Amino acid sequence: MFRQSAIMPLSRDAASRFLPWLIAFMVWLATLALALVLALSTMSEDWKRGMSGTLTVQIVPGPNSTPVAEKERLDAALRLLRQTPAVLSAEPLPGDRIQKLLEPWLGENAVSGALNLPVPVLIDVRLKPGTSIDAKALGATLAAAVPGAMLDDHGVWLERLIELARAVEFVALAILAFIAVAATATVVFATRTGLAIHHEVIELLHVMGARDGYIASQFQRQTFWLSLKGGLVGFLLAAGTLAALGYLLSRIEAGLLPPVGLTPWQWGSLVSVAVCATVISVLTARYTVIRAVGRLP
Amino acid sequence: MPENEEIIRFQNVGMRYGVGKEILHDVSFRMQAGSFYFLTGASGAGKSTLLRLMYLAQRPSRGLVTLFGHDLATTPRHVLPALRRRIGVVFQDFRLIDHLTATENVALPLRLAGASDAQIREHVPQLLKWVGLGDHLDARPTTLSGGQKQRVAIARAVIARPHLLLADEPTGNVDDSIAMRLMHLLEELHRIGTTIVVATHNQQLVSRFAHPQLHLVNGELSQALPSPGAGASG
Repeated sequence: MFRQSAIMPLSRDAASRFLPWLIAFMVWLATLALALVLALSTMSEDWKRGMSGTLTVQIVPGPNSTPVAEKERLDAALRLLRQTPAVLSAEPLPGDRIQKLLEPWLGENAVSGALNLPVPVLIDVRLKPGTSIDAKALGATLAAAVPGAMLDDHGVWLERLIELARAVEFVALAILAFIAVAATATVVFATRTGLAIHHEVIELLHVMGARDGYIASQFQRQTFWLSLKGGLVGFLLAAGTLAALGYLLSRIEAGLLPPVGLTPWQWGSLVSVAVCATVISVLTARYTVIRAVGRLP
Repeated sequence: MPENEEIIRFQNVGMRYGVGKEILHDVSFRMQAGSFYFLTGASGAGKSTLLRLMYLAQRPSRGLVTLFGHDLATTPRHVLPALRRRIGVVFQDFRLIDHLTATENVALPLRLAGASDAQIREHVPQLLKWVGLGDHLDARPTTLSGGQKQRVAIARAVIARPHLLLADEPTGNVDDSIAMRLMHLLEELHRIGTTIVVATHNQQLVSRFAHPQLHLVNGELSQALPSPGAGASG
């Protein structure tokens, strides 16, 4: 095999030393931004899925109310709900479950212990799949039939939460776009530096009959390896960061935060950031060289 | 390339850089395949500029240039590399690539033409031996003398068997005996059918060979036949 050195020693250029690290940094940032987008998108879908088709009825205990009167009000509400055609089931939440839900906020003795605070009765209502309900009308009927009963379809809370998630998603996508622009500008700068350093060899090759594509391929090959190296390092750093964040999230008490995780498909999307960075870099290098060489006579 | 085929035609070619004064004025000549010309003139007469126009490193400011039958004003850009590969150039300053060995430098035109490794392995060392550099196949230009660099540059210019060889002051950096050896090498190439243009300001050298001259004076061209008795040493 005829051993042939690279026609242009691009690997010795200063740009070749800093480009992989810049690409690594940008892939790291972009991967984290995309992970945030994917996690938020999954979370809002989960919230929507979990909340749609469910309603919560709250019966606030009246002043000087007796347990018998409370029971009658609960039965009346359950009767009304179960007679509603769209309702699949209506079950009161057991007292110990309500106590557990309140414990993180009010302490262990708030409900059953020394404080013995009055807590509302909660009814978990599930709707038949594929049906919708006029929550406002049902709420009004319920309030008229059972004093102190309030219907909550989680709509307002869910809407605001999803709005927030969408806003964060948008910001993360904007960051992703800025990173792509910055990465492209970096490759353009690095390639132009290479063109300036090796302009004599480029002119020589041009005069000797090298096609523009041949000259560009010298830069493309170099940019491919540098970007691939940078992309790999950036992805590994991002995977490490996400693993560390996942560990920290898992230590936070369940219930305070919804479960956050990425599916294998989403991990695949994260890998594609490094692949896209490499492809964008190579195409940018090619375009930059072809444009510059195209100005030669 | 068949004999009598026109390789180059310049018609009223003018050349200026930017808004500066014209370096070449109304240059017109024709060159047939297999011819050998000296391009002479004092330093600054425009020899290098004329050569740059011939090897397509420059576009004329005005006039018509036809190369291998292609009118360059109308030839699409993607056709030009193939035309350039039919031209070998020996640059005045050699333009060897310092980090490549003599073999790699000479192999460049073959690589650009898509030659295989086997072809490169076969032809390049053979040619370097022919120009007397068989012991310097792996030497880098920085370790070679002026004359040796000149020979590597000539080997690179001829390795792909160009139809037209342009040499800019090929004997400018070497002593008289090496200059004569290089000129005989060019004569050999001419004998096998290569069209050759040698730019030089050395009239003594020109007088030793029986070849016509294109003479430039202040950017204007005149043609001269070899003087009687020329070629005695050639």
